[in-house]
Amino acid sequence: MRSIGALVLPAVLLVTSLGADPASAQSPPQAEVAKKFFGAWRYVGTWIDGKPRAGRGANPKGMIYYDPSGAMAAQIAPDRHVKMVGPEPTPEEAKAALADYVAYFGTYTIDERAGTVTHHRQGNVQPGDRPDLVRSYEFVGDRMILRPVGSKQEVVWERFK
Amino acid sequence: MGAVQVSGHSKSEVAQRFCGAWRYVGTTVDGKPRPGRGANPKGLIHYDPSGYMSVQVAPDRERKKAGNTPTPEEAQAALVEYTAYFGTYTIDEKAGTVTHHRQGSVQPGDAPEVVRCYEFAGDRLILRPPGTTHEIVWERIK
Repeated sequence: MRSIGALVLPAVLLVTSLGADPASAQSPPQAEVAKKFFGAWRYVGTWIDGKPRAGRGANPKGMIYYDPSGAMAAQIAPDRHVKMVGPEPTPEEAKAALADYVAYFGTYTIDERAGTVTHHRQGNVQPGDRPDLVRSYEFVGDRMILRPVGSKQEVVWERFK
Repeated sequence: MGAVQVSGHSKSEVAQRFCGAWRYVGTTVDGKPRPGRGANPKGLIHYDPSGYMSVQVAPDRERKKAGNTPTPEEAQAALVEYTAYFGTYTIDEKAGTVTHHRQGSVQPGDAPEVVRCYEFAGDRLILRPPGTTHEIVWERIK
């Protein structure tokens, strides 16, 4: 965390100086970037090495939301029907329901210099995940592309209108 | 039918009040805290001006997995009392209800639609399943 120079809590524009880095001062450009995140985005898809990510079916749906307060939430539901025999899922049904479903929420911070957004998860349906998720971000037209740092994966979102 | 599609430009005052993000305060049944979610469950509901919504409530308990992917038993434990769904929403002002039209839900077997009576009280939004004594309380995130 020490290497992060400009941590921005959007809207509140709380700039956290985690080291003695004078460059981490509050400035308007940070606010501009934060504003680009604000609002809700529809899941378009995930590509790995340019190919669609397997495991979520033909038409997975999802949304991600960045609140000006610094709160965020993400969900992706695979395109499949999980059947349930009784009123509560059996262990096997639960495993099928959980597979490839993304559902977490928490807060987020933006490191403009690194070009990354970090999701600090407070709740996550997937057990055992680490709390923080770092993604490189890119805005292209109405789309936001999030990339796990150091991977060839692209998670594409499109702004709801 | 009186249902208002929450899109377009002429948003009513009620529709505008829904818009934004709300933090989960808690659920009561008959005035008593609903059991099963631990001491400090967290959650967030979001109503977008575009007509989309999402909600999550996470129980307050440790969630473990031993390996890379959860075992069936770990998955079953992970799903217990976790709410996670999203979709669109419509408001029926005359009935005083909001309907969540689910497009995705982590809980298998969920009905596609959820109807809730709504009440705004200060910074809070109270949602009640019709015909129950349940109250799900949300507080606007500022």
